Amino acid sequence: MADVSLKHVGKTYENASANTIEDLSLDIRSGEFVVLVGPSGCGKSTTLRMIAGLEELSDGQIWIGDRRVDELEPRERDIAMVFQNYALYPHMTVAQNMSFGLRLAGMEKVEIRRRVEAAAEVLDIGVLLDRRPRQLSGGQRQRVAMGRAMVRDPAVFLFDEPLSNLDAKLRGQMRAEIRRLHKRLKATTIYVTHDQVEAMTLADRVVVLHRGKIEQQGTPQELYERPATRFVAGFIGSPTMNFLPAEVVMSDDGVALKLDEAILPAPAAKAEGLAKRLGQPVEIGVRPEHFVVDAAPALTVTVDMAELLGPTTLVHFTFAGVACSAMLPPEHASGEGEQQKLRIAFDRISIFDPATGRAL
Amino acid sequence: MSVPNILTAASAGTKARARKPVTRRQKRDWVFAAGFLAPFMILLLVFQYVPLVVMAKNSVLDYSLLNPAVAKFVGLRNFTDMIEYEDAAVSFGVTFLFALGVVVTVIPIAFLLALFLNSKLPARGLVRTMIMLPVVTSAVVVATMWSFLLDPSNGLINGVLNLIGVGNQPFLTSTGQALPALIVMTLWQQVGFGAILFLAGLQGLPPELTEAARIDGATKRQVLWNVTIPLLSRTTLFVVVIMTVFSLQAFAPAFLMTQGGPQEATNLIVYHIYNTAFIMQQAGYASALSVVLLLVVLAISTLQMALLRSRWNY
Repeated sequence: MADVSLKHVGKTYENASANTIEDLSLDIRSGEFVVLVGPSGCGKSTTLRMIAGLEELSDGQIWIGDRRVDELEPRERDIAMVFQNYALYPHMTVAQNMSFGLRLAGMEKVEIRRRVEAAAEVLDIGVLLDRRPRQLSGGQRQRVAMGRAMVRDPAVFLFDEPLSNLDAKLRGQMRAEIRRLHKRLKATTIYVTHDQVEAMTLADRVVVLHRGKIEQQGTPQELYERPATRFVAGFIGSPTMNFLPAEVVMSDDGVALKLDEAILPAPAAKAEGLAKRLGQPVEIGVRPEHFVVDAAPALTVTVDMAELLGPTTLVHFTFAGVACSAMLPPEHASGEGEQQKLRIAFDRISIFDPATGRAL
Repeated sequence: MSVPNILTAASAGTKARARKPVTRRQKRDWVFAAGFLAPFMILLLVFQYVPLVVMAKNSVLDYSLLNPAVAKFVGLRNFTDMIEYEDAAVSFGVTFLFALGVVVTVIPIAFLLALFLNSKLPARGLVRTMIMLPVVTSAVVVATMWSFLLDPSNGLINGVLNLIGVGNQPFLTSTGQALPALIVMTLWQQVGFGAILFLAGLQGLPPELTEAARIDGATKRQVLWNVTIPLLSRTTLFVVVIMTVFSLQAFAPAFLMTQGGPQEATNLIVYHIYNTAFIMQQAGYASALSVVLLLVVLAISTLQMALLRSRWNY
């Protein structure tokens, strides 16, 4: 286990006009599980590959423990990586795949066998050790790839979208398994995904990347409840947050937000900041579960579509010209074309500056 | 009596299914398919399969090309003659040696060239052009050019050897040097083709595998030895077979550079077949030699198919 530190890391490709990664600094504590998340092309995989030594840096430094590693070969960095398509050697058996690195390191056969068998037992792949990768299912290949990383007992584990080739059910199982393994091994882990559910469920800390920069980092709960930008608010959470245009106004009860025709009191915690923006437009972010069915509603909307998801119903409607969704208890959800009375849990909303996208 | 009735009923049912009317669309598809296939199939029949049948038929006859009408059926005598007289064994031996020489030199050099072409080193474009030029040049031109190069008195290579004090070498007239000289020439001509095949194989390898090996602790040499070469085994096998078949069928070098000599040291089998049929006028015996050559090539191709489908099917 070791700390990992990225210091002002930059990466520019020859053919690209803009920087792929720009001045990225990140400190990861020993034993921490950090998930780099973001949409395609945000630079998350490039960052991971730079840590692995598979991509050269254009700027900055990378440290693992007390060693600067950005000039070192991948084999000198004491890392292990699990690839998106598993990258198992097709001409080797499972046992040979897992022991390849140990054999190269010149480890004694007895010790190699002990480690491979121990990892195989943890991952429940003991019966597969003599098979070739093509004889394995996707989930089994995934386990072997993890086993290959585990046996080396590296300072840092790197995962590059390891679950994206699996079906939804298996993905859920493997997510739980990875989390369980991390708790057991307590190894420093850097995990890249575009799936925010994976990020939220696995991470000690989530780092949201957008256009090669860190948009926000924090615990999954911090990111969910207090997104720093409109991008993070929209990216984290499923179904996605609703963004409604509003205007800061002064009402009899103090600072308020004018939403379409409705005037609603501003959240107490944000009233002071909003007072400086009287008359200015803002954008409010409401999570679908923060629309509440209320007898004395603030809003009455017409339901466009209602999706029964089991424990909840996702009600779609248009408000202030924006397509919105609310997650409601099925017994209180209205049907298509019917009126739905709602209140917004105002103490839970996020407010953004429409010009900069930053939270107010 | 009931059993036959059931059978009759069942077969009637099958017939009824078989007689399902052909739709207009199916007819149209058939016409289109036949139309597209016809030019190639006609050429294949006329220039490949018909001559093969004629060759097989001629291999049991004794006749001369000067008067093909007077042909005598001799059964398998042409084949037993092959065993009785040494010419066929010598010629096949020379040809196998030639093929072996070509394969064992082309494979490693072509592989190294492919590694170079697949790297990010400079001058790749130039090297690619240089190695592909001989491949697209006519074998006759290449053989003639090398005859000049290897000429004992005026050849460029002997000129250079003289300059460095080695002295003139009788490349094409020495029993010890003639076959190696032909192998070197063929290597020069074919290495580009082998390199392009290896390059295609290298570029088809998933980059993650070499990356995984590098992370696993492998040096460049270990990646090459433990990952790249094993994964290229199908390509390697393909190149080996292509080069073997090509070498077994080589004709131009023997015909243009050495006329099979000296003392049959370069009497490649196809050149020997040509001599037997057109110079010695033993067309039946030449056909029998051709049949054996065909069987040898077929055996190698079959072996290739078997290996490709089983052992290296990852």
